[in-house]
Amino acid sequence: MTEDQKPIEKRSAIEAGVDVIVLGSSFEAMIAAASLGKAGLKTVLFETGTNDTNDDDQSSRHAPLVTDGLISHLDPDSIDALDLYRMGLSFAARRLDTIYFLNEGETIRLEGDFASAGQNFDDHLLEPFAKFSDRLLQASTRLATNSIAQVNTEDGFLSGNASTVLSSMLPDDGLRAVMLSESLFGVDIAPDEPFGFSGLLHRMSGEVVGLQAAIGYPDGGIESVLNAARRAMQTHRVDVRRSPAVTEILVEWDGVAGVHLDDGGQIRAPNVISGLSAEDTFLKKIGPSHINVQFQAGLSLAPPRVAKAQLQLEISGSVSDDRTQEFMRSRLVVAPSEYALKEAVYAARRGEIPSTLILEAFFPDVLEGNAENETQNLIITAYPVPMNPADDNYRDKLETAVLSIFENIAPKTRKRIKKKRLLLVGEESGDNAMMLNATRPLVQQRAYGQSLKSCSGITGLHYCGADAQSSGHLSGRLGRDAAKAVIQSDRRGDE
Amino acid sequence: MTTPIDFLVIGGGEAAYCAAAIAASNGARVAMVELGASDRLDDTSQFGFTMSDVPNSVWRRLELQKYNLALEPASAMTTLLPDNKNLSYYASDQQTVEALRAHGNGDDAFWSDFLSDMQLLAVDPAFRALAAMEVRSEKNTDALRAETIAGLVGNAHDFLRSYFSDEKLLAHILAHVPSANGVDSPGSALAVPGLFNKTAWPQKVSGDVTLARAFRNAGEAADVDYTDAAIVSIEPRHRNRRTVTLATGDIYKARTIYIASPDTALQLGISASSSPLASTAFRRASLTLKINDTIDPPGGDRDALFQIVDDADDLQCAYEAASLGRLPETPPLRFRFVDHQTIVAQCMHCPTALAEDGVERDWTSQDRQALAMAMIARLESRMPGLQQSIVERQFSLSPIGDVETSISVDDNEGIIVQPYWRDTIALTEELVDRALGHD
Repeated sequence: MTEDQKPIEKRSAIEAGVDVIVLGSSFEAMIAAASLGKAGLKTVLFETGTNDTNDDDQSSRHAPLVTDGLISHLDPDSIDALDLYRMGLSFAARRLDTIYFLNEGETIRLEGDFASAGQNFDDHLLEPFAKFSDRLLQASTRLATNSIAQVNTEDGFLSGNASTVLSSMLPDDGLRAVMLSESLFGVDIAPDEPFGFSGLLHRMSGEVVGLQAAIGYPDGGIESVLNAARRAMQTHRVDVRRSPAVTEILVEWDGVAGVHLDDGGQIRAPNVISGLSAEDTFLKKIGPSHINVQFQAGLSLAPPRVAKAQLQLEISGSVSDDRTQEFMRSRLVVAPSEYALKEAVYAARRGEIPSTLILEAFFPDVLEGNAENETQNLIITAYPVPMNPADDNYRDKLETAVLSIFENIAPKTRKRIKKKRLLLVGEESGDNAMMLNATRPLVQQRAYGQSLKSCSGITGLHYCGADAQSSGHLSGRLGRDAAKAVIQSDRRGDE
Repeated sequence: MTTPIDFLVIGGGEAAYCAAAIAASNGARVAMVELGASDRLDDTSQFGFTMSDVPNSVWRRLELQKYNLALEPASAMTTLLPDNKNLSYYASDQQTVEALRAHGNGDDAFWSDFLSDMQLLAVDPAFRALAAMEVRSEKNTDALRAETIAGLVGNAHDFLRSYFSDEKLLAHILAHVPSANGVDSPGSALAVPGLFNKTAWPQKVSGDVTLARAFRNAGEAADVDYTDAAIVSIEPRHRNRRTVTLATGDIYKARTIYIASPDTALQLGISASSSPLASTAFRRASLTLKINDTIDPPGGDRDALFQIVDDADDLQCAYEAASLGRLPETPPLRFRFVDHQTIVAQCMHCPTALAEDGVERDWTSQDRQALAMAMIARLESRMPGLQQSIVERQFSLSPIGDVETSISVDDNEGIIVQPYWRDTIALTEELVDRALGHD
């Protein structure tokens, strides 16, 4: 799709002297490229994305990401190694409190530091909750550092269904509903289906601002995190190219040899890191003839059947009183009852819009300290919604459903809407798609990711695309792992 | 009275009685709390449905020949689909392939590959560890490739779709998969390979005693201490033993506690279910029909184990209905001819309680009646004329809530929960031996 006007013969040559070629402009790919650049390897990153304007136009180059969201996972090693805080990464809100809205008008507030959350609870709740959060944080630490097997043997947390595991640990209905929603938000599992609890474990295993299980909002949104990674690439002299586009990954003798470009040229390199989708990487750019049958069958693993949707609103009115401000500075979660959640997941799988949804909402402007503005952005993410709805009026119906649920916690929101935009899976910008894709059960996703990372035994090829990620969140860990693998093999080669 | 013992079995059913007898045959001091099961020991409505073969090793260890037990393997596992379509799976691969070829959907070409995959998986220690989620070290899973694991921890429907395209064949296989989960629920694929383990062929008990009774007799001969009472408390481990107090006031201090089904574990409040195959607790409805005419099933083979489903969605709908506290509209059924005048049918997906406007209530006699009628209508749809020849019918629901107290156990050390598994008896033997260090 590139509109490159440069003469073809000029480029249709073989370029050599490159150590690593990185494909894709996702956060993971950029972290991989920056890490390699820092290690002194000659690295070329090929950007992808939907930018069809001139290369030199800086404003469109950094077009805002369409999806925005809160962050619960950011790899601390990547931040340290690439000094991302000096590259401009900063958090507008470091550990957001969450207010949960339950069925009967009840609310529960949890402090942003999960390890010490729940201090405002009554004594009879405080003790079981403290025990619960303690056990959960221990298990999720093990998950981050150890094998899946170990975590399961010790806790049975991975195979267990969310409903049963929670009912054994939390005596309070409200707290159970809260944690049920946190467990199942975006994992394609009903409350009493296996593996559901692992969603919570995964959500807690992440780190933001050095704090496990915290949720943060970056200053400037998700885009600013990507910008920090871009700056890290610049600093470490990564050669970033947009065209000509890569059409093929060259495989010779079961090892990677470089890439083929759409102007007929080639770049030879002993290592390729792909941050593209698994299908694009293995079936389109490498081709079935180079990968074994079993691996190919694994690639066709059925996708999740339900997804998230995001409603982005601009609403009028500045924030007057302190109470409202405090409300707007929190992460707001609508947590349905277990029964309603079951119905919702089953309905979404059938392709229907459920009457109840889990909603996660936040006000980015308020978090960035602009509560006095005359209009406020509001971002509402809803789950579970059908992945491939058949209904023509789907968008309108979904919007109505989301807003009517949201109005239960913030009445008359609809009247104040100035602008609105509904985003569904597949409508996000290419760079960091998957944000709205529901993920598979953790155990399955880990196994699938493991399989992709093995790249079916093609030497020099490494995969860090969204398909290998355990959640739709930014992390940096996959990119760093891929870079580490290349650096290690490079050292081995020197010896 | 306080008794220190090595091995405490909790629960009723074949696997539980088998576990107690095997543990005792290993020389362990064994007690068993039957939780109300002793009344059902001779319940012949289970006669047609012993799913598991009894391995030779278990026959020999427990000397089962002494107890007048006779098992007969089912002739086939047959699914009765709509429009007189039936598909069968036989113990003989050749026979199965021929039947599929006669069906003419082209899937017979893939059957052998599929079968050999499943049979290799069924006995693969790494797979068994994964299914039981008993993985002790990551090494255990080395034998299975990551992409295989990814497929196996998914749902049964998608897993089978990677082999076959004919939805009728999928419905047939899925109907026989012994998983309490929905066929579209995560984890249900793990139950598929077990279906094709040839040592686990369904049996029909045709002697004088039920399998559970035979195991109990063998246990009595090996000095198992049986008590039929409720459990009041299970305490955290102290010096490698847990103190278990019964409603009778008896106290056991046990090294290992063996719970023979995930449902029982759930009722005891032991939650961290160790296997994805152990999930939702449903009730099972059994309907025994006495008939005066000779009714033949489609295909005419009375010795088969039958399933009635319309399609795979049928199975998923039944699961969802049960999980939401509703009666299944078209209940998938399994049934067998016990003798010329008796048919036993079961519906595996019945809610523990019914939900009306989000409020739970108990089963009423109308509910039982409605489900019994729906089950009869299902049988009638495949065997016209059946309804008119019924002279007597008996409907029962598997009991729940035998345990009154919910017990919170902090960690699961020293507690074994046996997952749902096709090859139940062989698994019981394996788990008991491992727990007692005899593997």
